[in-house]
Parts: sequence; structure tokens; C-alpha cells
Amino acid sequence: MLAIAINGALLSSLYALIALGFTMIYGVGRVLNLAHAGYVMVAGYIYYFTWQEMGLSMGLSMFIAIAASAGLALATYTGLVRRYLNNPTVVYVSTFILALVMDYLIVVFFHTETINVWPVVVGVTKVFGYSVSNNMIASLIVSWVCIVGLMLFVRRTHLGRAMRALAMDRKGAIVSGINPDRVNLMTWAISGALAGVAGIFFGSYTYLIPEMWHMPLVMSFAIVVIGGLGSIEGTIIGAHIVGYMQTTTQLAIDERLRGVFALAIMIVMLIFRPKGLFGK
Amino acid sequence: MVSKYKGNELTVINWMASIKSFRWWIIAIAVMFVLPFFVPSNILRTCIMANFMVIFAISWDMMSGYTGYVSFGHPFLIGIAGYVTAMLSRQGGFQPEHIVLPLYATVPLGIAAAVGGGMLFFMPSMRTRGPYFSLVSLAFLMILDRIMIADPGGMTGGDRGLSSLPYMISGVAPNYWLSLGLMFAIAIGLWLVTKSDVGHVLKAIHMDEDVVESSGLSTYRFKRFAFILSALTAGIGGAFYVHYLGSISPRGAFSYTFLLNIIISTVIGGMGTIIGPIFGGYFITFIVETLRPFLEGAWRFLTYSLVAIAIVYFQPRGFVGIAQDISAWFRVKRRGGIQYDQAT
Repeated sequence: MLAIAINGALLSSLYALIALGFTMIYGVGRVLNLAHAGYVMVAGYIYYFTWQEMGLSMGLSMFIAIAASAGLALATYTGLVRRYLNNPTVVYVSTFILALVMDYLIVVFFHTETINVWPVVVGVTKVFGYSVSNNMIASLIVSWVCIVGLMLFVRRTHLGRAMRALAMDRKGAIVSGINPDRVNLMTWAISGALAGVAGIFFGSYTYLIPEMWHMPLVMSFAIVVIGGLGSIEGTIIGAHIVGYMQTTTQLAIDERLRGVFALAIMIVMLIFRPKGLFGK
Repeated sequence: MVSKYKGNELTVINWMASIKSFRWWIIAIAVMFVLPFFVPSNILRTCIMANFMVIFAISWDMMSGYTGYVSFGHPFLIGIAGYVTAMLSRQGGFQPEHIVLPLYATVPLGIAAAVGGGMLFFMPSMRTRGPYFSLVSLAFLMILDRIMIADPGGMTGGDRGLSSLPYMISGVAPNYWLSLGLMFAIAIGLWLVTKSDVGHVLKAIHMDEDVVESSGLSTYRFKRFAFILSALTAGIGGAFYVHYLGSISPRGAFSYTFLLNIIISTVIGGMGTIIGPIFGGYFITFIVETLRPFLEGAWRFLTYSLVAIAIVYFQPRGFVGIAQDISAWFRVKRRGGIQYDQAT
């Protein structure tokens, strides 16, 4: 039971980080970025490579990994998406192909074997008689710091308000002097960085494998649908529903069926309440 | 599909289109038909794969290219058809009470399962719009993949799938003609449909669904019609493909690379054209086969994914769009520059 509670809390917070970026991009730009989970994978591999292969310090390699995934998100926006913001079909197709390009690049450079990443923080702590690795506790804390930071950012700062304004009413926001392109750029950079943070901890929570982006991609779909596309609170709650669902399935029922129940909830949700829990 | 609108019935099949460009289809069929007498069998095998890829791509085009509902779940339909016919027709099954049926019974059952399963699962999600549909179609694909791997009741062979299935016919050339016949029958049939009024309505749904809805047409019924045709095509392709290969596995049928091939074939050929996927499917299959000796696995996929991204980025209408641009350029050139009509 405790194992499910703790593992579920961590997985949920990591999924929340990924899905928040995904939903923010949709809220501001009205496009879905299917390459989003690819940044998670790329950040994980870059972190592994710079830290364990090149021997840089841990902090520096974290910085490089996060900067790389933010840069990749910016490159996706300026290179592929900006020209077709009003043609979602092209955006879905091209970002999906981009995700597979990243997958093949990883296969080319790192092959398909699983890679174990050193934990960020070593050691084990006893929590109610169940030993939890310090690494998991650290990931949990860091991802919650990121989530709360993001919520404060969106509520309190000027740029955050501009993002919300664009999500509410695009034309009204433009009329009141918001430059949608600049806000879009910032949103993509932030969501890329969040995916980078998630990638670093995802690698050390499980392991690195070129298929690791499939699950987060589909799960962030499910989270966003359950919580309501474009809503931050909904995304966090959806992430916990999906995360606990998946952990329970994995630890208590059958490892091979992981994800199936979360997706089933998502489909029921789509049929009975297509807007999600908090969608407008 | 009959939909009354101001007393006029919308045509479903446009026979006039067939008369106008009949000769092009005849030439294409004739050239492709005599191919086995001239080319070696290894190229012919690639052509068979290309024919099946074209069928899948046309199926995707019928739904996603026309109505703009981007489906990432097409392997779901193909996989259902393939698995149903594979499970029913497998000789000497792993359990004694396993039912073995002849192919002429199992293939129609597989196709029916694809249409029925698609109706049951996909149709509710087609009431949702835009991104939601894409998401839920991918979710269905993942669920089916997981269930097939989990191997309920020892029926699906789990991770390794089912193999040593009976073949439809033997020999390279007969298989080629079979796949070619299927491909052209489907392509011409759907092409005639899309040239009709219904085809125009589907294109209009892609442009602005609300406008179509407010002009008194039930968009849901049109989408359902496009979806049934698409599922039927995917089912036919899937069932015959499984009995051509003689095996089916989750890794082959539900991998993202297979999905990518289907989508890329359509997109670089030209979405919403039916003709485009024919060129796109052949192009993709031959590029994959031609690069095989030079580049290993991932490099090959990487190369053609980048080519595909470039084509999508610079000309989202694909080969058909490029051809239209070139012919427009020649027309302007022949007339000696752009001539504007006199405003009256």
C-alpha cells in the first residue's frame, strides 16, 4: 500500500510536469505539440551523457539538459509550428514526425539497450517502515517546487497574465497590446524546460530507453482530457488520477496492462464530459 | 448515403468523373498489370508491399485527409482485421478446441470486425472535435496494443504474435496481381466517391465544420460515412496483408513506425486527393527498400522522416500540390505572363 502511495505520488508529479507544458502550449497557441514527450527523452539522455560519459559536474549537466530541451522546444516552434499555427492538421503531423525523428536519433547514438542513470541523491530513508530512496523524495520535492513556481508565475507576473489573457480571448489580448508571438515563444521555452526537469528525474526513477516517450505522451493526453485542456488545476488533479491508476495497475494487477485503465477513464470522460473536470 | 437538401439528393458516386479521366486509369492499370513480365521478383515484392501501403494510406486519407480529423489510430482498424482473421484461420492452434475456418470465411469476418469495432469504439470519439479525436484514437491504439501483448486466453500469442498463417495464394506474380487489383479497386471506388457531392461536403467539413452544420447538413452523418469507408478499406488491407505476410505481431502492426509510414505516405503524396497516396505509398516503400543496403535501421528511418518533414513544411499539399504548382506555372508561361481579366 505504502509503495503504491509513494511511487504514485512521484509518478503523478512527473506526469504533472510533462502535462502542464503540454496544456500550456495548447492554451496559448491552440496547437498540440506531439513532440513534447520527446523533449523528456532527449533531456534524460543528454543529462546521462554529459554527466556519466563526459564527466561534467551534476549541476552543469542538469543545466545543459534543461537548456537543451527548452532550446529544442523553441526550435520546434520557430522552425515547424509558427508558420502553420492556423492549420492544426499540419502541426499534428509534423510534430509527430519530429518526435519519431528524435526517437531515431537516440537509437542512432545510444542504441536500443536500456541505460541506468545514477541517482541524483544517493541513500535511503525509512518512511513508516518502508524504505524510500532519497532520489525519489528529491524528485518529488523538485517537481512540486516547479509546479508551485509555475502556478505563481502564471498568476502573479505580467507574462503569466499575458498567457492567461491569450488563452481566454486571443483577439482581445492582441487588441490590449500583447504580442502573441513573444508570449508563444516564452510558453514553448518554459514548457520545454519543464519537460527537461521531468526527463532528468524520469531517467533516474526508471531507466533510459528510446521508447520512453510513448507512455508520457499518451498519459499527458489522458491527463489533459481528464483535467480539461488548458486548465492548470485540472492538469494537476488529472495527473494524480492517472499516476495513481498506473502505479496501482503496475504494482497490484499486471505490469503489462499499465496505462490501459487510465486510457479507459479518459475515453469515458470524453464521452460523458468532453470538457474535462475543469475545462471551460 | 442519401441526404435530402432542398429537395435535391446529393450524389454519392460521380460517374462523370470516371468518364472524363477514364483513359488515365486505364493506362495506369495496363502499365502496372504487365509489370511482372519485365521486372525481377525482388522489385515485385517491394511493389506488393507498396500496394498494401497504398491501401492503408488511402484509408487514412479517406477519413483524415478529407474531413481533417487526424487519426493516429489507424493501425487499430488494421490490427483488428488482421488479428481476427489470423486467430480464426490458424491451423493446428495452440489449444485443441481452437476453431479453424477457411480463408473465404475468416477474411470477411476480419473486415466486418474492423468496421464493427471501429464503429463501436471510434464513432463516440468522432463527436469530439479536433485535437480530442487525435488523442483518443491514439489511446485506442495503445489499449489494443497492451491487450494483445497481455495475451488474454492465450489467443493472440502475446509479444511474438501469431505466425505460420495460411497464405491467400502462392507465387510472387499472383500475389502482385491480387494486391494490385485490390489497390486499384479501392482507389477508383473511393476516388469516384470523393469526386461526388458527398466528397465536396467532406472537404467543406475540413475547412469549417460549423458552416456546414449551419447550412442544414448533419456533419455527423457525413463523418460516419467517411469513417465506414475508411474502416472498410483498412479492414480489407489488414486482412489480406496478414495472409500475404503469413504472420502478425504487435511489434509489426502497432508500432509507431508503421503508423508513421501510413501518415507520411498520405501527407507527402497529398492529403485529401486519393491519387496522392498512390504516389506517396510507392515513394515511401521504394525509398525504404532502396536505402536498405546503404543505411542501417534507424539511419534509414531518420533520413526519410527528415525528407517527410521537409515536404510537409514546404508544401503541405504534397506531390499533388507540387504537380499543380508546376502545371500552373506552365500555363502562365504559355500565355506569356499573368493576364488579368478586364474589369467590367
